[in-house]
Amino acid sequence: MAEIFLQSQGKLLVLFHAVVATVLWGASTHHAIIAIGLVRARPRLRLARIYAATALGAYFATVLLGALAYPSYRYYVRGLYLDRYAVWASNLFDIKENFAAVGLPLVVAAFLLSRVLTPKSERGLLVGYLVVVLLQAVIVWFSVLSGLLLTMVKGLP
Amino acid sequence: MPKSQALYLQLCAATVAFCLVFMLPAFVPISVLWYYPLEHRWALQLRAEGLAMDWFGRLLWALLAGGAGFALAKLGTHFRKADAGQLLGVWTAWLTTAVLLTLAVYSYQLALRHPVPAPLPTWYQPK
Repeated sequence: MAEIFLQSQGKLLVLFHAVVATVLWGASTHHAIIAIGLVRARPRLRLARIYAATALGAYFATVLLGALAYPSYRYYVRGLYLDRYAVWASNLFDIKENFAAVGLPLVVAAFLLSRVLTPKSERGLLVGYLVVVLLQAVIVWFSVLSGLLLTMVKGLP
Repeated sequence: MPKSQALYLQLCAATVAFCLVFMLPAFVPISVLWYYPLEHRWALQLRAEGLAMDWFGRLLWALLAGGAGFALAKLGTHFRKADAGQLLGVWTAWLTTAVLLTLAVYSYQLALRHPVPAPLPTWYQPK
């Protein structure tokens, strides 16, 4: 077998990748609900800050763990199996990785904005914050569901 | 300009710059860092020669562009003293457009892709 970077830790990395992605899924969803409340004049800023910080940490941990497992996945799963026997899954994986990258600036923006917002912040700012949080939540939902589906098709050997 | 407004505009500019540069290789041939997992090496090139990954390279360019966008917007907001309330909606629209366009471009390009599989090694048994 070809020797690839962190190949022997591949399964463990994907397992922790899934665990932190689940944390991220919950934090992003709760954050979105809190952000909607903020625009509808029901401010719970403390919770917004907690979920924003949790989502930031979980997002970076998820991307880092996924990136470490990626070289093994690229060869053993995508290169040898998905590209040959499940092209739709191969394409879905690449769409997911690009979605996840686009979420990076959004999760940073949501965190930094949550630190400066107040209940008296102007509506334009609150709507902007809501848009950022909702876009990030959509990306997280898509990425997590795609990841679960892909794992059902083929995991790391 | 209030600090929160300035920060929002800087973050919007960073996100728009990130998205535009992340999307750029889909339209324009530009060199990015490719990682060759079987050969354990990196190469800055236009196209891959064999099994390689360009995600890290595209992300690197986009992060640098995002940082540059943030710095430029910081400079711009530093010199603007007036309230920027009217700009918030415009920048929210730009941010939304840039993000959705990037997602749409990659979804469209990749959904119809026909990837070239890696050659099967002798030990490989699909299950």
